[in-house]
Amino acid sequence: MIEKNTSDICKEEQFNAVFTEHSRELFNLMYYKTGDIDKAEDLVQDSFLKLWQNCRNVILDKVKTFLYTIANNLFLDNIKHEKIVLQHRVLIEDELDNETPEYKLEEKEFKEKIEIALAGLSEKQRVVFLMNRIDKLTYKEIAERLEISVKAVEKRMHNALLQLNSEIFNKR
Amino acid sequence: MYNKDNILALWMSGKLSESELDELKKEKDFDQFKRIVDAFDNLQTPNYDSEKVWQNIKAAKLKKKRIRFIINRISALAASIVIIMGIYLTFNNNTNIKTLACQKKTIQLPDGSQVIMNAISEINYNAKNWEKKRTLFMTGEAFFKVKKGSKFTVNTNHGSVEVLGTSFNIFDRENIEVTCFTGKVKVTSVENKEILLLPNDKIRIDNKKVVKVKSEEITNPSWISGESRFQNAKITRVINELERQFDIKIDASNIKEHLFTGTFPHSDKELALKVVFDPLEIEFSSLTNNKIVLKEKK
Repeated sequence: MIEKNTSDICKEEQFNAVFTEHSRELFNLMYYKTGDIDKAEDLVQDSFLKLWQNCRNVILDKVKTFLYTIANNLFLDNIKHEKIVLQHRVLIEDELDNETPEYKLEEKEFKEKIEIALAGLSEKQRVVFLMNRIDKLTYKEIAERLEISVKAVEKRMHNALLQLNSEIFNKR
Repeated sequence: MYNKDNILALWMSGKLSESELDELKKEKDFDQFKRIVDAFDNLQTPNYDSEKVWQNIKAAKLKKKRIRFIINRISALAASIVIIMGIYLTFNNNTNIKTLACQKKTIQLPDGSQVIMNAISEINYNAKNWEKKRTLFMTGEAFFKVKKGSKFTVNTNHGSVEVLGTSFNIFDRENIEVTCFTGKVKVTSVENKEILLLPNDKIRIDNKKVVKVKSEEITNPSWISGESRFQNAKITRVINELERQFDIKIDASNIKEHLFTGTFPHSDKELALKVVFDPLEIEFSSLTNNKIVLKEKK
């Protein structure tokens, strides 16, 4: 009896490679949706387990689509829609020396304003906007992952920026 | 307010025509849009413990595996008349390439990717396994032109760099500096900080501090075309590069700290020393052919 039609994903090595390639990005997406590190990690974990259980039925080309669909369904099943506040780390410091204390304070306040404004976006807008701005995914890549059209991605980007702008600058 | 409902999206992805851009710039909120978008350049998601998640998955997988193992045993029994033995031998096919002082080398990797190595650098990779796993180790400085394909990883003492198909430069000596020229590059520091670089982004990791530097090099690092370029670099960094390019020893114990901005050629030692040290008011004298002593003027 020769085992055939078994997708490579069942092999430890290949599964590991799939995990390395997609887990961070999937985590980010789940974080944008939930605003909760632990929940996002759980969702990533469960999605990969589902992939493992179905490793014989998923071909390598479709792994990404499979993972994103599963993760999204798990998210819809399990998560109550709560108002979320995302935290971001400032990672890269600019080399410029014009960082007077006043400037730094202003930047800090601005960052807080952004975090609050992000929570005010709809989930759809927030997810698309952060996938583009933080994960640096192109509109096409986002459209593939969320299974929507590029046009829809562009609309969400456009409206997200308008919304952020009015939350941050035009609130009385 | 806007005649298209995706105009800001096109602006953020750099796809606006010039006339559309001029139109948008007239909007009163344009500066605010720009400020918001810029702020996101410096933001990253929180730390993600991928190792923990991976361990949990492995543990859960193991439970499932036991059941499958029993089924496999039964079918193995039925098929036990046919025994297939495969012997798999892997030889440790490590390729090691080094450059000496004043030397540069261009290397073609098995998949057609190219590495140009600067002086006193070293790379190490497994040629036999290359098609499966595009991973190499390097020290020193090298410029990579990577053919599109599977993940390409460069490990260094100060972190690792991952790409798909692109060109980038790594400087990994006292500190690490990575410059992205085309495509997208992911840098992971030893503390597991991840940074994404887009074309013309350059970062330096120095004492665990990640600093974004402006890259003035457009298509290639300057050393490829036979000169070294510096932007506000510490003088010791410049001296080390002079030593590597001309195979000389420079005694810098008698000079203060300086910052250097400029370029020196790799073809002419005297000229190189002159362009670096004259503007900084530093005198240099040769003791022997390859030993040079520095002294502050005045």
